[in-house]
Amino acid sequence: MSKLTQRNGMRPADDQETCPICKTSRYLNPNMKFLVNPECYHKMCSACVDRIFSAGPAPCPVAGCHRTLRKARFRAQTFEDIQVEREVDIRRRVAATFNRREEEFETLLDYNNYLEEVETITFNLLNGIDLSATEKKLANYAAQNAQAISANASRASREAASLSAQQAAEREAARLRREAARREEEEEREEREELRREALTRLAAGNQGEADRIAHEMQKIVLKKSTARKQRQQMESLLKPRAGMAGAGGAAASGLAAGADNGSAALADNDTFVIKGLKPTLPVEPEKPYDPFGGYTEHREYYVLKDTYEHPWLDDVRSKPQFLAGGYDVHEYYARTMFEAFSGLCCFVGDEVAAREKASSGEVATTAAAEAAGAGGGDINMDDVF
Amino acid sequence: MTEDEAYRTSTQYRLWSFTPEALASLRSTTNALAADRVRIAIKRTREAKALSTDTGSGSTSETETAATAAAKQQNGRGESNGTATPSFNKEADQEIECLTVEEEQKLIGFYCVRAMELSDFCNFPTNVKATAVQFLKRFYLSNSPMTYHPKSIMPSAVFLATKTENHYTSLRSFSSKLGSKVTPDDVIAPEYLVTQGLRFTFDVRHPLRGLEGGFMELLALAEGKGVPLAGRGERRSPQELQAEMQRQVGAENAAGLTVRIRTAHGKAKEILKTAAVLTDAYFLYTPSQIWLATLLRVDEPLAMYYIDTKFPLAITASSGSGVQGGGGGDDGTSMTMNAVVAELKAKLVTTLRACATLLASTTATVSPSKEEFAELKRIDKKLYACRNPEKIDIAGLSRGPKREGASSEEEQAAKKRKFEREKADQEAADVFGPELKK
Repeated sequence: MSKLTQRNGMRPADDQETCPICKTSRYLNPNMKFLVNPECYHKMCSACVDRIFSAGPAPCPVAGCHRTLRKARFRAQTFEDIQVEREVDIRRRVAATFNRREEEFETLLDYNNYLEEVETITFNLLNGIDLSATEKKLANYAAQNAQAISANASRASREAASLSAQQAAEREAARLRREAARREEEEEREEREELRREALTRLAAGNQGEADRIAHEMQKIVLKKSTARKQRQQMESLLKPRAGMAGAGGAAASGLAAGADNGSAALADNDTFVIKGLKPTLPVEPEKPYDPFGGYTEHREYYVLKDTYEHPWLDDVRSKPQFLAGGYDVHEYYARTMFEAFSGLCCFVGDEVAAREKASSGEVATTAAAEAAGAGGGDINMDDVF
Repeated sequence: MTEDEAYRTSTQYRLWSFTPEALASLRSTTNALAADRVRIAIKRTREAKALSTDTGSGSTSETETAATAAAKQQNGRGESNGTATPSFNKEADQEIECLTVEEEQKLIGFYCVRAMELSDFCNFPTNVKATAVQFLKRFYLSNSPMTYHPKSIMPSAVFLATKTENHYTSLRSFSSKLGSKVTPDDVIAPEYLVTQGLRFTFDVRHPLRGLEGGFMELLALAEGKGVPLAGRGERRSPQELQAEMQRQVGAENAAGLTVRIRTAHGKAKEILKTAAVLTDAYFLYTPSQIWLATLLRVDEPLAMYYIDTKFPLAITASSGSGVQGGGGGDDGTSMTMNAVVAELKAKLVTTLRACATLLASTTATVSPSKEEFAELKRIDKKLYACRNPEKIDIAGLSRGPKREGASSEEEQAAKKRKFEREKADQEAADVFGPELKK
């Protein structure tokens, strides 16, 4: 590799012009293209690649490099410096595997630690430190987290798609707005022009004394038209946001359909453009059945509610349609009367209220009296409310 | 949440339940406060009046008219009865005799009865009637008849009760039933005062519906269809409960029991409609205690049996009634539990008996006797002298000073300016410009 860079550094012009394998110069073949294989990053022209690797995998023709290369993996060089090319490739590979996001971590520190570990792996791969161990680590991680990796990858692609769709929609909306404004202006000018012309013709045709009247009438027409136009504009401006939104939504949806890998995801993103700050949908545990009373339970101490009770009053309610049709449920009555029959049976006011008063204040005769004094204060100010 | 806990959350328990001593001290405090205020207010009124008469004799300037106007405003309607004032003024600084707590109570009691009569006259249901009376009673815990006469408060309380008890009555029809002198305004004017006096709590829990519940369950027990309280350790079957009922109450068969229960129910209901409402029972006991106390009063064996079923003793080997399979181990605990239950029951029965005595003690009948009436007249006459003159005209107080309308002049000026601006704009847009000024 160092040899390679040396050569690159020393004779860049020559490198550009002749193939290191077949020594063909650009002078002879102006369409010559150089390709590299990320296996060893040795450069050769496309003719050499065709010649050597068409029949299948073959060793690298560069002396001393014994790597087996395949034709399919040859590609055009992006960066001039082959080192940079290699580093970018490696980083891309690592990033595809280690594609965790910040929001997946509980704290920033965790995320940073993770990033550092990833960077260590990348550095090792770049500089060939502990290559086999590092590769193994990478492979292990990829195997263990296959699902999370693919989920993150698909999410990233979705985001990219939705972002581009949003941008396109915004551009389109802006264009439409501009166009509408221009049209509006045009129309207004034309109208004005026409009216002026009409006014002049009428003035020319009319009598001398009528000038004032005609001018007044024209004035009226101008006003009427301008208000009508204003109203129309208002209506349009009211309608437009909706139309724009629908258009943008449609564009986003189409973009997503291209980018997203499943329909449900596309649906989920359809109504929200901003997907970048999305929290990861952790596997939520199944929701518990909703308890509308928040843990409140009823416990009856003094009675067990029966299904039916006999009461001379209730015969009608149970049988006559005028009660039944209205939805009156006699069980409600049972529950309520039975509850009221025993609600507070063992609340001994004498003891409990006295204890309550003692708890709240010792020296005053009773809190009730204190309250009365307070109420008396209210008594004084009672007129204030009026 | 048990029934008792639910009741403890109610405003009736939290704000309107008192010990007898607290109730008495509350009433005397209210009375004392009101009496003080009455004295101060009367003195103030007299001073104002003296001032007005002094200046009146001297000159006929504007100050005089202003002073009389002020005095009139302060006196409200009270001044129209000014025929007695000269002699009254003589003994001006002497002691003003205020009502005592007992006199106040008699007066309030009388107006409670009047409220019931009014409700009957208007064909209001029992719950409206009972609620209205309770409203009056609660209101006069923190207010004195010397401040607000029950005569003006009572219709308002009844009307408020129709609203809180969901028995719609239009104000117009209600006030028309009160006689030609009473206007709808008179009914509605003290309403806010009343709500304030009630501390904005309108829920009154009556024992009447509870009585129906007890009645239904007693009927079920009498027919052998009762559900034993398994949760409290009741091990008797419905049939055993029925047999026990027959034994305790002393009836031969279920039919006899039913008749007995129905009679007791009718009597208890009468008591709950009148005596329970008119006494302080609502302040001192809970609704379920009140209806059980009435049952205790009208049919003691039945009530005692019923209370027994609610507090069943856990049967132990030592009690000897029947052989129970696995009773040996928890003998001690069941014994202590028995003791707790028995104690609770004894306490309840004591409370119920006290409540029953209270209910029996009331002499408040629907129409007061001649002596009572004479006494009431005397109290009313006394009240006439010691009413708070500043609070007599409740309708006038509630009306308050009239508010100024929004600054209409400013608005009009703004309108005019806007019109002129528009006109100028219009003229500017004219093809030939604005009109030439002449």
